[in-house]
Amino acid sequence: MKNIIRWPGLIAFFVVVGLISALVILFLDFWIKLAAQKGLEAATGAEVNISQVEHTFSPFGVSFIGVQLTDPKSPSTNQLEAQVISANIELSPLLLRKVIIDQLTMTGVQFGTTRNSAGQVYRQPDDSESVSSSLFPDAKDLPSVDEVLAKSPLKTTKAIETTQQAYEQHKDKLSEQYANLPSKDKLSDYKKRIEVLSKTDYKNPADLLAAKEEFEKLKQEIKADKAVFNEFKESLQTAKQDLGPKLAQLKAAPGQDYEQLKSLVAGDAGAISDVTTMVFGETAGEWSGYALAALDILAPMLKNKEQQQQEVVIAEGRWISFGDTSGLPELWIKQADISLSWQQEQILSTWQDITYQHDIIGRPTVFKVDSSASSLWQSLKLNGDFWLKDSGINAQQKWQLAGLKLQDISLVEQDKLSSKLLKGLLSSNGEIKVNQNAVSGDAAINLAELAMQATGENKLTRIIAQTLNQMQQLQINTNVAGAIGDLDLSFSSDLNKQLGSALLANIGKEEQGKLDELKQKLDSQMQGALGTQDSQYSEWLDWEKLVDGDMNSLEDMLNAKMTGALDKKKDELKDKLKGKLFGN
Amino acid sequence: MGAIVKLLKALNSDASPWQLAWGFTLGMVMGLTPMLGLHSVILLFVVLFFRVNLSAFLLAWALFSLFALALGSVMAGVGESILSNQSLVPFWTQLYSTTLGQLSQFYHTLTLGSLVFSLICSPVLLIASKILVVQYRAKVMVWVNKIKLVQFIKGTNFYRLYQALGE
Repeated sequence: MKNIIRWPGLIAFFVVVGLISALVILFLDFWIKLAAQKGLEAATGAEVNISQVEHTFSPFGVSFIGVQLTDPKSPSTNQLEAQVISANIELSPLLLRKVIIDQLTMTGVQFGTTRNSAGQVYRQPDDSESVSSSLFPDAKDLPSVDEVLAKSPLKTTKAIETTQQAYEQHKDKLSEQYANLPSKDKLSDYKKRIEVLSKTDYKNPADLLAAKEEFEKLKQEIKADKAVFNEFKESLQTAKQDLGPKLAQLKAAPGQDYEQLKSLVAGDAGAISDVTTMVFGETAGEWSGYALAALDILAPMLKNKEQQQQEVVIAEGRWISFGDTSGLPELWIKQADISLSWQQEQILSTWQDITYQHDIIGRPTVFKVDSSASSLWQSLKLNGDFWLKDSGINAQQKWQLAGLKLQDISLVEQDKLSSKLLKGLLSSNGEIKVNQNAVSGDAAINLAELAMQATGENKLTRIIAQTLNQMQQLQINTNVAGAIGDLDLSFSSDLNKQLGSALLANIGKEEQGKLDELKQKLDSQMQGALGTQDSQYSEWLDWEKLVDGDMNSLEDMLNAKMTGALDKKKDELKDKLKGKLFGN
Repeated sequence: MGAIVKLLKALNSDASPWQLAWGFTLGMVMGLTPMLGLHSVILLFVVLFFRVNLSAFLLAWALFSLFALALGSVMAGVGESILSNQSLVPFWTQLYSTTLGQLSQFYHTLTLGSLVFSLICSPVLLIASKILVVQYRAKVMVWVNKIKLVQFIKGTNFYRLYQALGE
């Protein structure tokens, strides 16, 4: 036994294990920092910096000081920056490789802060076009009337198409039915036969009976022809009901198109149709970004973490989870208080159940912001939840912001137009829903008590600047679509309408000439189409009149004349019978 | 380099062939498996507490760490197939819910796969290396010692000084 055992080896073992343990404990902060940086970098796809890490053993907690997450879309800014992130972590689940955080506190959270040096990007995000890349065009090259007509979705063109379609749909059937109507000769033949039957002097009842049978036969023929007329008339009515309103629409369309297009001819289609996005888009996009930060930043981060768990290199092995009785997710932050810094104000948000395995805990991550009046706003309420599933993210979010004070915000800085919001009050409310990553929602941004300062360098941008300078309030409707991580925001407002009116008020000789040309071209388009359709419609109306006459004639033949002749003959036979019976 | 010299010395000494063979085998297990894990602590305890040749252990550890880089995918595949075997799922589930099971990290495909792979190879390497040590001593060492040049070197003061410094 002595030959097998090496007693000094036992001491060496404890020395080695002790040394390794000491190294781990002494440099624990360093290891935690390294692990946190690596984990967050894998989740965000960009450089993560942590200035300092502190830990406590009882209760086990970690504090990260000076955390910066590089924005992979803009490496010179931070997607998120936090002064301190503290977490109380449950130790026993750590052995199960599960990070269960009872309480997480984040203070001094800021979005979009500038970095001292550009951060590294490890995973390139999808390119999304910035609205600021749009440039205002020169007004000197006004579009031609033909260009405007070609590019614009005209009501006249559409009305012509629908009228033609309606006409084509009914034309063949009506023509065929009209051609198959009983001829005038046939009708006069009926008339003659009825006259013969009614005027014949029947000598005996047998002749009368034969005449009656012949009349019944004739009646059936007339009825059959009347049914053909009825059928044609029904088709004609349907066609009239269909084509009539469409023709009226066609007649009104050029006027409507002119009203819509005149500002485009006077200015520039592209600039006017998108001026809200050009002037307010970037800033409104930033505001929306704050409101949607929870879904746009945290949810993809958690989703990436989940994918990262799944997509490991085979050679490095992977961790396989077996259904353990504890039912704990890999990461679960039970309660989090996050304090967001914005212009010397603190916005406190509370979160429950942050995880990427909602199916295990059986409830969504819920977040809420309820900030009472501050020096910057009257009230801010935001609440929402999200649930990460294998099929995608399901989420919803509502917000209500009232009276946010805005001051000195640069909106556009371009060669041809610069504008600045000197002061204003912003209110916004909206709701978005996410169903399997597909985002849909609307938001209203109301700007009141506006004071703007804008300058333009050409005719068009000077008019835009003038309109902006006169503006005191504006409502911007935002439509949110796209997918999580790649939101697509579109903006609309009555600014386009205001600008169109302003352009028309400043109309010159050249533009007036173009407007006249536009009116003339629209009218001629309509007249060209209306000429054909209108004459066809008139023909149908003529057919209707003719058919009405023939049908009346048939009706008369059926009811009045034959009934009278039979009655007369019956009376004669009655008189003869009376004479024979009573000897008169 | 020091480990190689010490190994050569051990081979040429009267150290037990089994000590050397166990050193090779345990070094192989240590080299093929991931270093962080409960199995590494146990291996270290065995190597230090029992009279296993340390030079052979260190040399095999270094050598098989290189093999592990090439065999990573194969060994992870072995682990994957064991862990995904439906008949074994109840066992792994039970193990996963215990602290000892968690510390073992046997639910990591590479850890389990490499350990199983190296344990299967162990008896072969143990016996083969023991035979090789015996054969070396019986044939190669005797043949080397008979070479006149070696006899001459062994007879020099320089060699004696080297031997003294090495001990």
